[in-house]
Amino acid sequence: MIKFAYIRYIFVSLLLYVTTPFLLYAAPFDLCPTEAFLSQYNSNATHYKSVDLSTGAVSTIQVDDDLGTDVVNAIAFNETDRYIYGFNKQKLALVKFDRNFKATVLPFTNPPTNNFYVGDIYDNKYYFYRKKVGLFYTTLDASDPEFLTIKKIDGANQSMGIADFAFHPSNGYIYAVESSTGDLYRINPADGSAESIGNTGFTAPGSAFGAAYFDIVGNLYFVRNNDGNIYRTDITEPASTVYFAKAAPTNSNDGARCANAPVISSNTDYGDAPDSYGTTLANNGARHLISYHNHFLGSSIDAESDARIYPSSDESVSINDEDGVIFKTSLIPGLDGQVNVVIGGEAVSYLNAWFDWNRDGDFNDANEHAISGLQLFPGSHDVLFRVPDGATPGASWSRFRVGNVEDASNNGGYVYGEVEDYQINITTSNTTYLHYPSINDFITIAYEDMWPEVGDYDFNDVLIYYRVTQVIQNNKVVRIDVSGELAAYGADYSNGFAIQLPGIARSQINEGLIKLRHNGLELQDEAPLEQGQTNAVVVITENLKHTFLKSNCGLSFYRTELGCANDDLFTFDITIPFITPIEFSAMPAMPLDPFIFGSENRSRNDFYGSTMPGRAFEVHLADKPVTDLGSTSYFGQHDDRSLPPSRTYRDERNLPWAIEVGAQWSPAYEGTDISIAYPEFINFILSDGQQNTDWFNHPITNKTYQ
Amino acid sequence: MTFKQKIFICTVISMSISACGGSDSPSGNSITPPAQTVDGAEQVLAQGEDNFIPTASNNNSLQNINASSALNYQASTTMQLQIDSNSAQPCDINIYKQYDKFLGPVFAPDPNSQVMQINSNSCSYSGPIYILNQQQRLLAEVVSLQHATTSYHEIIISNNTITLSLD
Repeated sequence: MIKFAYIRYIFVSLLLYVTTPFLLYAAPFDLCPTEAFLSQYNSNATHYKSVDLSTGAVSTIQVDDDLGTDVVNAIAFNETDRYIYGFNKQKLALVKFDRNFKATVLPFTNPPTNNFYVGDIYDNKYYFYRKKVGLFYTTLDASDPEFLTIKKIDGANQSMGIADFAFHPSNGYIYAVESSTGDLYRINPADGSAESIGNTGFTAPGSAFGAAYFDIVGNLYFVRNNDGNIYRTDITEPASTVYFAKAAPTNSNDGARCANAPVISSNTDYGDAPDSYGTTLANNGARHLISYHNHFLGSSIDAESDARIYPSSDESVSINDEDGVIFKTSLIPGLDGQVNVVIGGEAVSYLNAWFDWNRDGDFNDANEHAISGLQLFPGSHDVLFRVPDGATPGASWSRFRVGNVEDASNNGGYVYGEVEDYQINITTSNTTYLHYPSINDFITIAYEDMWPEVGDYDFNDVLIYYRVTQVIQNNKVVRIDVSGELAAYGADYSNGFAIQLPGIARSQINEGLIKLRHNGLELQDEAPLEQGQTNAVVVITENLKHTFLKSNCGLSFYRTELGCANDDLFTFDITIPFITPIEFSAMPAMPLDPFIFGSENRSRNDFYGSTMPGRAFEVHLADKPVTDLGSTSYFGQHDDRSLPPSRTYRDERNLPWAIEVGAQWSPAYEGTDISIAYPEFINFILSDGQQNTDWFNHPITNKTYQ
Repeated sequence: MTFKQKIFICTVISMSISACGGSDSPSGNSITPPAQTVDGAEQVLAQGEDNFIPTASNNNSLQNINASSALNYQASTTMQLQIDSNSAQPCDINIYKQYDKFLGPVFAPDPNSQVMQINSNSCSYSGPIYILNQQQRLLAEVVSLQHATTSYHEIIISNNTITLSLD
């Protein structure tokens, strides 16, 4: 039983519980909220909502402002006191709203006779406008003797047919888009003069642009009432106005926002194609608010704060959610292609897909909207589409969107749905793509860089994720594509990375068509095909240590030390075309011959003393040949027991300085013997590779980099 | 802490969460705790967890073993893939290394694991394929747009030549 004396504490607690929500009653808004606000008149009351401008998602905040059936329009956010103000149509008075959109009526000292529905606030002054009536303002400073006294700006332009306006965050001008013409007006609040500074290309026939907002970088957003479309315009270039997102349609709308807040996104799914396709939020990328139970592709969808552009795709930081589309056929100009599309959500969805057939970096050309508004039920579907006759062979991109909007665009935001971007190859018939290990997986090449001294066998001095694709036409290889990324770097010494094609002469490579990219950007002034070599050798980078920023943690290595994470990413891909296609039988075995070499003018391990071997230092996989620029003079020295040409880079126990691992592999922590981190590696070796072939899938977790 | 302090704090907390006085169990059902010993249930010590107990493989660490010169430390083998068909019709053949297999059998390939995409005017292929050491089977997906068909063929890897007849 509860003692009587405790009852008073229970009473106080209950009182606190009941009254606490009301303590927030008159609280102002957050310092500068990132969401936008809307007032809309529904069901005989003014409702107040927040809008995520990035996707158009609308959430209702308040349906009872304590003003009954009164209409409140011309709402505006005051950065000075952090309250929202609006104009009450019935009372012809100003209204002040707290963070819960509960109203306090503030009568003017000189009440107007007209209702106003266009307003915004700047420098603690509320400005309001009506066509054929004029531009007015009142100070919101309660200490000012003219507080709530309406002032008319004589000579102001009164001809603009606008439904809302917004102050720029910094230049002091007001901007508005006229509903009937789409003209963007700049209004000087000092004298009310207005000029059209360009046309946005969008109008609101039979409706209005009822809400206008700025963001901190000076983009103006305006919302069309009848369809909820949100448009974004760069006020310095109104002709570049774009559809940005889709909010809920309404008959009445007015907007308020802190103009000094950025537009951000959260819980949002993006694609990962290059940004020329419109992928990031800044570039109005395709995006959706994720909704696990409605419209999505495949079995998964993830959220990002902004797009991660290829090659830094979202799967590197989250899950691989590009799982809803499988390309079942090659994409051959003039023929049909087929994809399998899995609608993973529970809702019937519309599929739209775009292909960059002419490879110009956008999806806006004729026939590039190849699948348009195809309604699909949940489940798996094979979908046909036509590859145009004029499609340009080569690597390109495609974008797939599902959602509840039939005529979705290839960029911009929608609340429901998912976007998935896929690399594609437009090719000729009878072409085969032979991937190693697969189209999207990597194997790992791991190096010890103390050669010819044995190292610590952690095999994390240099760790490269690595993939090769051969393009085969008429049974001959016409091109090799190699891509990869630096996975770890646990070395003091500076190493470059290169790939030799044993048996392929340098002269067989079409040097002018080689393309090397770092982090997705083509290196224009590089000559990757190394001079002075008999075999073809392409240099990916002269110094891997320059590809990541050192962390101030541990030994400043890259992803090899406990607690020393590093978000830097170095990726590469290189296209190596042959002048004359090469027979299968002449092609080197996989993984070709990737090797590390010494960076110039950098010291190395004790074996070299004060000598800096530079390019002459090479470490290859066991039994791979040194290149013409590598030195053979170190063979047989110290721990090395090479007998070139057939036996290279092995010590007396036949252990190598480099290994290939058949998966995307996590290395041992710094200084941890690989056999401690991966105990099955020993039996793999002792069984001559016949047992424990997946030794790399069985780590001691706390011994490997996570 | 006194009871009255507890009840006050708990009431305040309950304004934001509704777990006051409740169980950690999501259902709120009570859970019978296991019989307790002074140090709780026995915990298995992971290999090397304390850096004191030698790991089982230490005697065989890389420092102490000899390998065969035949071991090349590479992850794959080049094999020959022979796909035959008498149809003389074009098709696309996709080879996957990872896939799900359901009753039927129904196959669901993992698109990220596609090893080959073959477009063939004669629905055939003869050439190399690279097989990872740990790979034991593959899935071939044959797509004919002419016949509007997709068929699947599971391939068990047993020797260095892989043959598949589509007839």
